[in-house]
Amino acid sequence: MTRYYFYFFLICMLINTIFFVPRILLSQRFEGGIMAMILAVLIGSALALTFTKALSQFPGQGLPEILTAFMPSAIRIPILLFLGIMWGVAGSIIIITFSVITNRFLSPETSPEFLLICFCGICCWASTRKSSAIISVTEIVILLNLPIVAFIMYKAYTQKYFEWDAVKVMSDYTFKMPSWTLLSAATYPFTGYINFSLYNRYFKKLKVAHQWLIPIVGAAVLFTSIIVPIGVLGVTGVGDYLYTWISTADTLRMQYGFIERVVFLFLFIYIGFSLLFVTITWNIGIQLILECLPKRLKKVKRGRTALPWIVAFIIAAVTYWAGIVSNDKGMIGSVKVWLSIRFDSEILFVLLMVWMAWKRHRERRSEHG
Amino acid sequence: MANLPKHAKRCCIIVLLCANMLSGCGFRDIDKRFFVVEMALDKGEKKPYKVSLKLAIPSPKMEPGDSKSQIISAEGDSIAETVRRMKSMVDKEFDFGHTKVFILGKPFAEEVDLRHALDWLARRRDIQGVAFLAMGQPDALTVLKVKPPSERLPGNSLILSFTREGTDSPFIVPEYWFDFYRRLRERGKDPYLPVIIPEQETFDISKVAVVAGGRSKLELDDRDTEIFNQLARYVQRSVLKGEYKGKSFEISVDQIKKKYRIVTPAEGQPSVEMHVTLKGEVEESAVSLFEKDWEMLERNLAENQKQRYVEVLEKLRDANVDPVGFGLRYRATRHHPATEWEEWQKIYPRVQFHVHVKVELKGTGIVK
Repeated sequence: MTRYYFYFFLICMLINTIFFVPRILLSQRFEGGIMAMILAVLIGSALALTFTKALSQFPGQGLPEILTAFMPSAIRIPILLFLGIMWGVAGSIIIITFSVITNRFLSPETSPEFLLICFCGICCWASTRKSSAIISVTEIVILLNLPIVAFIMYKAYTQKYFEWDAVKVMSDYTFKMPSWTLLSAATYPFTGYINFSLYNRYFKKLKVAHQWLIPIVGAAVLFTSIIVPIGVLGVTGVGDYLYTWISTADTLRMQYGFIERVVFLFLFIYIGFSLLFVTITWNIGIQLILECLPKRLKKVKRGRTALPWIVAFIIAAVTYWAGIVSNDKGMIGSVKVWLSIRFDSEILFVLLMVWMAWKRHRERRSEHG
Repeated sequence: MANLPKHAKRCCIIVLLCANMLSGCGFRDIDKRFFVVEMALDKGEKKPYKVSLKLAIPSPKMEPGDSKSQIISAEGDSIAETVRRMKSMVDKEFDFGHTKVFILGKPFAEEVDLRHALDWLARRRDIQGVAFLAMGQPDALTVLKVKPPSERLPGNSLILSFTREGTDSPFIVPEYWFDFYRRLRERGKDPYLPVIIPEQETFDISKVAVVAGGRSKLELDDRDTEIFNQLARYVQRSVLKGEYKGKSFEISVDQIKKKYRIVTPAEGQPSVEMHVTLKGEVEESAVSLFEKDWEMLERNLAENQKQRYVEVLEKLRDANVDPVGFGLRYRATRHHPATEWEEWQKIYPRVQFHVHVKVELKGTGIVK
């Protein structure tokens, strides 16, 4: 149980410390980026711990079941629909960005539309699998890739060109109030726990040992994702790069490795991580949206297998369309907006969970006493 | 195969059919590409840029001296335009993914603002961060044309010199592209370029040029370059010269540790307090040293070395270039972000260097 909890925590951490979060934080590194990270460690861990505690009141239950017990469907369905869409968008953002990155760095001759279709197709298929299978795949991917990520980080920190003076220069800019966008970007990596609002169904009892690891691992990964780019790309230079971490990985050389440039190793690992992350988020999104549909639709025997596919196809189609019409600049703008909405709704969602857990707790007590 | 379930077979067929689609997405085969191994940038005679490319010609044999390559060059108003123009001079697509060395001609590095001129390199996705930058004297194209007889692969001899996989000379000061760009953009740490002087069939890379404000400002000779290598980079090897009663001896250093801090007292001269520890063994000597007083030898070596350090540091200071990164250290250790950079610019020209050198002799080789 504990290890699955940390797998989901880690996958979210690793994905988001590569794609947008460093770019947003580094673009405003002189205007509160550092403070946002410090606050994010506190807020993110607090939200994670509160949510986990609240969820332990509902063993073996997913969000749809929990909500059914507390509110009428008129309130429940909009909430589920909203959350389902949020999860879908979380995956779509990653898949669009990753197809752009793949197109740019790995196979520039392939058309971006073709890549996006391929990725959407894979994720469509993968996300309609059984959740228990996805949970197991998460374990495999993390166990295979984490050592390589650790190796790259070790190489990055120990390389001779790492400039600690540049990192120290940033200390002057610590005490600046961050904006809400910055804060919502910096807290995003901590959001991995939220996948348990659905996957709790598959665990009889949510009991997580070593919860103190969350702030520590979180802070380590989050700060690494900012410190290493500053250390190797320079205080001023780091602001120039769009794909900060890929450029960072490109400064590493494996003299006696099979491939000299570490960046390719890095990209291949992140293909795995990205596709897995999208699979998880779409899988949850699909299931949440399916819960909103009236019961009679789900009773149809043939429809049972077709419905998830239909929802997955709609998400993939919208993603494809968004990927075609967006460009680098529009993408980062809309991601910022999405991140703010996500942060607000995450806080409200955790509060809702706390309220329901508190009610459940009181019910139990009155039953016993 | 026969006892597999039906849907598994069907899956196999679908996967194989899909694999057919993969080849048709505009991918150019390896035999339709030209791998650019070195690129030279010069000032053109009529136009601002003269770009020369060294194209590797793949050959089945890999024997010394058998490396084949072709050099083409053209002039244009920008690098991008020139490269596009050059595409019509060859029959294959350029591939810059393997370009390991970029050579800037001396006049180019001295007269053109590199902060803007090299934008093409920074912007392109396929230029390696771990490519090397160097300065060619008298110009970059001449360097490109040198063909060392021992070369197995086109362009390989320069790559071997810079990666330190081959030679380990204390005079070669390699500079990665990512490091150059970072220093170019940073306030308080200036970039540098190793200077390649082409000779008959080989190169002489023993000098360094320091860049400030986007232009090459100062060139150091080989003696100073060795010291520069220890100060501005992380080189562990060096040679020290000492004297014992009028007879000279040399020790080879294999470990160098340095640290420094910047002292700015309210009154008096600002100074850089630098501590350097060198460890090494006697390599050559005119006298037997084993029975002599080692402490005295160490002191003598340290005194010599200290003067060389101070000399080079003052040369850099007087030219107002800062490849060691004193400015960045100043910014890192002072905490008033709005004014510290202006302060440092006033401090640097009158800073004093106090270098404390400690030499540790480990042995005298295998004889006394």
